[in-house]
Amino acid sequence: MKIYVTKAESKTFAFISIKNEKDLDLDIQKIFQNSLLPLPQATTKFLVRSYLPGVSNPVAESLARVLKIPSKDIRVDLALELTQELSPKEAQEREALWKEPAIERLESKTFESYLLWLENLKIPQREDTSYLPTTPEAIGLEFSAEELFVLKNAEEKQGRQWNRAEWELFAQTWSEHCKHKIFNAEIKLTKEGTSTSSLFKNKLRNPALKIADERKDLYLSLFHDNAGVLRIFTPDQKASSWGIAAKMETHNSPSAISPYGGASTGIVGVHRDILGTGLGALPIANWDVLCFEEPQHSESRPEKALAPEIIRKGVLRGIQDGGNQSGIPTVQGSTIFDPSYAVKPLVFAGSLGICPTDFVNKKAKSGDKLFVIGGATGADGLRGAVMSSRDIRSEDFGGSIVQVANPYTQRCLTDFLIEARNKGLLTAVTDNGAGGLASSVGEMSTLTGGATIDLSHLRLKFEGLLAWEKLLSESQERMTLATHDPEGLIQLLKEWRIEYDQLGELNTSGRFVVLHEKGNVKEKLVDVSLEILHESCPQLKLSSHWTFEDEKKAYLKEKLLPQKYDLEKALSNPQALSREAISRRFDHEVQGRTLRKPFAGFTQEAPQDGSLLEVMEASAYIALGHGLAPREKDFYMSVLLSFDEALKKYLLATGQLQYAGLLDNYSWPDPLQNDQSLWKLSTSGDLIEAITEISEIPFVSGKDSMKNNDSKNRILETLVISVFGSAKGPEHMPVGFITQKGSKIYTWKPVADSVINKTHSSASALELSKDIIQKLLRRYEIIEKWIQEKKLISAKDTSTLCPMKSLFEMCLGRKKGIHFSKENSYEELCTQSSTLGGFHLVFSQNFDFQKEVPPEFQNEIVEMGHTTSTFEVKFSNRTLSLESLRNAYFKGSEQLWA
Amino acid sequence: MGLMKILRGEGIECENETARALELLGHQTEFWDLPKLLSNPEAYLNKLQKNDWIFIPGGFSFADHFGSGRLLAFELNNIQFFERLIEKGASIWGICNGFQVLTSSSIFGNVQLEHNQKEDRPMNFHDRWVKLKAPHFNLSLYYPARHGEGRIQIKELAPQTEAFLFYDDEKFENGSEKKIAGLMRKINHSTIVGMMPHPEIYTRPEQNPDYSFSDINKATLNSLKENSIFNLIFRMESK
Repeated sequence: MKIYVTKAESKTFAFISIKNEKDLDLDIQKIFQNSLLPLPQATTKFLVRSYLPGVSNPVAESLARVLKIPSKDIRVDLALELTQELSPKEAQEREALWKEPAIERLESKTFESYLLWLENLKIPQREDTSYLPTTPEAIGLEFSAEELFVLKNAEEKQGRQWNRAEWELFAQTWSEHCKHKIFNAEIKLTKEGTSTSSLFKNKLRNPALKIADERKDLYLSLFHDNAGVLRIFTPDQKASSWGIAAKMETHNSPSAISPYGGASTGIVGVHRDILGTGLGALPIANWDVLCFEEPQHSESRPEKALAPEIIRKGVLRGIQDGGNQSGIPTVQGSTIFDPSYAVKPLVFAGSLGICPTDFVNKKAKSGDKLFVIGGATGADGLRGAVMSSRDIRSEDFGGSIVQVANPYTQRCLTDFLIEARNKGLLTAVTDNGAGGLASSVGEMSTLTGGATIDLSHLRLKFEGLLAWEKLLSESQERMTLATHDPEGLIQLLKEWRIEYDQLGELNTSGRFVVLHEKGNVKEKLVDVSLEILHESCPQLKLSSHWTFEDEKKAYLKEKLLPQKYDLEKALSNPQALSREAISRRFDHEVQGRTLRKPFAGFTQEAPQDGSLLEVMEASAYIALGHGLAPREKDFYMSVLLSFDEALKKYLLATGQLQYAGLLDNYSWPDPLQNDQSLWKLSTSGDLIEAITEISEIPFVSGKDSMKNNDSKNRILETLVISVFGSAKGPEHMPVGFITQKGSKIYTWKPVADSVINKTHSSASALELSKDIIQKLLRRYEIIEKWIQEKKLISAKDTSTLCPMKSLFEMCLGRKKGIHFSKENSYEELCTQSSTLGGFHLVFSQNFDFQKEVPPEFQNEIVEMGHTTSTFEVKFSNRTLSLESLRNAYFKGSEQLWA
Repeated sequence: MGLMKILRGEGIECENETARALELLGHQTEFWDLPKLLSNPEAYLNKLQKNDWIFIPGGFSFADHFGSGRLLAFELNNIQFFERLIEKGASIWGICNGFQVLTSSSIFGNVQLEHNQKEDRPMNFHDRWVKLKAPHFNLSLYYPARHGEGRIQIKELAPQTEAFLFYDDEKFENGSEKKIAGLMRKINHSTIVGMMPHPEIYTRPEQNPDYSFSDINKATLNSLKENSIFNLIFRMESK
């Protein structure tokens, strides 16, 4: 073993150890040049930060690639020289800020003892029990009584007991994470006397398919692939030969115990969903929603939960690296603070991708050969799918479920995949995420009705991986491919220097068969019929006693009067602070598509609603919006506000209603444990159905995470709605800031401020909600028309804090101001008001209000005053410089986020 | 003007927008895929003509964990890439990570691109449009800076090397010596340009963060093409 020491980040060293017969001295000299340091004295003390054995280390992997040695031959640990022992407090601080929990260890060692530790570093040899017949209890897996009944029955029928590998396969395939059992459950509201046989089928998919069936030219793929795909239309309404794919994922549990690893694998994982859509789509943008505990510790938080700042910093760094190092711009995001997120932070990661329409569908045939390409398979990430449905801080929750992402490896895969796709070499592609090969090949086998793979010679990161672990390993940055031309594929893989394993082939056997060498004999490790694996999981049956009356009572108990704010003070609240410092850490412009920047104007300080991306490949534009309102206590309003916020962002980025598709992303506390949560889940389904039917915009993809609680604490029910589709483009785009003095500025007053308060039953609340959705749609159509006619110069969604905040934000871009008419007072504008359907608007010079605004809306659109060239707001009784608001708005933001 | 060859692969990210910008300015472009180039350099270098340009776009080449640009510089130097380009009379342009690859190869002398610092404190990756000065051309330019390691530290400049681009923006500070944002060197027939900001995403007015359709004029469009740093340097070189 050779060891080298170089300078790493400030005041730290990297210890690079290489176990390989090649003499790499000269290469190492050339790479590190003058940053290579002499070895420290044996007695010098260090605080060593090292990856746990069995976890892959991206730093070592890229070095291994240029040195052309296997990555398992190289190890990189970071070290801080200790001139004196750390006090317990210092040690604790280091621990908190330097170490990635769950995947790294931090120990103080002399250099000599470090070397000794390295020499003895081994993965312990274990007995492989993969083939042995067993029971789920014996290996720590949980199934419901109904599920066990089905599986035991199948055992009896086939006259053979399931072995360990097969039980692991069932646990993974039938996990809540993969099977979405709650979303597919029969749900009864016992006291309301209503029920649905499946939220997913009845409320989401079927209404969506009904609309999609009538617009087959637009809706190319929904609810059956890794992402939903729409056709892209040019601004002059021509159908292009490109599709836009969208998907949003959640990575809550991993981010709770290992914030950097959890968030980075979340981002890079959703990119793989896009890459694994059809025959491969190219990711072009990210958006994210982060829900955190407030910066001060909450009163009620799990004992072992990481400190809020550790989670915040780690998650942000994970998103930064996951996006930036993948070359995919992060164009939009939200951050929500609430004490309830102490039990789990929420990390929603979304990604858009483009794909020629010829490649939107998989085309696998029996006989096609299967490959897994990219990273080798390791001990990292086992049972992630099974575990994400459990209490994450319980003792049996092993650290191995968390990993760190290696965006570089995935970037290399992407370059290769796109070329392989374009050359017609692929017939199917899917990602390896939760469940690893068991899931990717298991799903792909349904395309032809069977698959046989052989894992005997799989490339491994670590020797000693058990057979079942090879099948279930969730090692990142791997894609599974099917091809009809294996020679052609292998040649291209070699040209791009992409490592691969040949797995086996797709067939029509009706079975998923996994072979593995035991001794020198190939044996069946897994032999399961697809019918049992994919179609026999019994449906859950859930019921809730919660009623509309209960909900209304709970609402009235918590309901607060609209707040009046001291705006300067309120702006320094984490929830109200500028997100600019976050946006600047994310490359939001790589790929050169981002035409609507997150912060605009010559100051680059005015936040803009929504994103506009250029798709030069299709001579077209894509708009994106998202919304959520988990802190709104009126649950009906909460769902409507999420939809409205998303749509407003989409429209202001010039998105067109006729080309839009929606995404739903749920993070919920376990509805099995709480009647109110189940009632809300069921009610959200009714609202989703109403939104789909009235707006005629279908949901095309979604994801749900259902176990965001522990025995004492649960998160707010959090629904994120996103919308994406073809847009008119920058020449129509209203900006989020005031462009010049002397223009009239208007506010379109909210459509509604409450549903639950004005109704008496679930039925009447749903009716009122439908009425509101209809009104919103009418507004959107008018806004869209004005945008198409270039009548809107500036426009902004009204702020949830108070209207004054969004008006102030509009002044930031070019340091302009507003002279308010005498009907407006500062105090009134600093009072919280509903935002549902609310806009601030500045029209073009030639806009004739009386003629252009339909009569029924003329009273709703109120003139606020006119714009001025000085950075201040003027009221009849006072003038306020905006500098102090600006200071409050940005000052805390740097501290919180930078 | 020769052909524009753009390196791609191994963690390079900005190849497409670089190609698009150059094409918009009227040039012909071609990608050179790094894995293929590194395993068979002759196939590429033999095609090279005098006056061709090689672009190394921004990104995180080879993941960039050990100091930006180091690993790609190592790989390119293994095939004597830069020596052979200069021998052929081709020119080289590195942007952001590409600039880091050039400094790691000591092309501009003993020059380092270190972690950004603001008021002596380490500063994160930062994406912001910044005002720049190009004194040679007597021009102000506006391009996004998008980097975490762009603080230029010069111990010794190579012969015929000079700073041609400077930050001129009170809102942006990365701690660079003399606010230098770009270096240029002449070696024989070749010009070597290295710069941190990204000129490839500003060739059209709607890419500017202050863009509004209501107050854009056609003159801006022309001046953007005319005064693109690409064209300015190509013109200077062809004189």
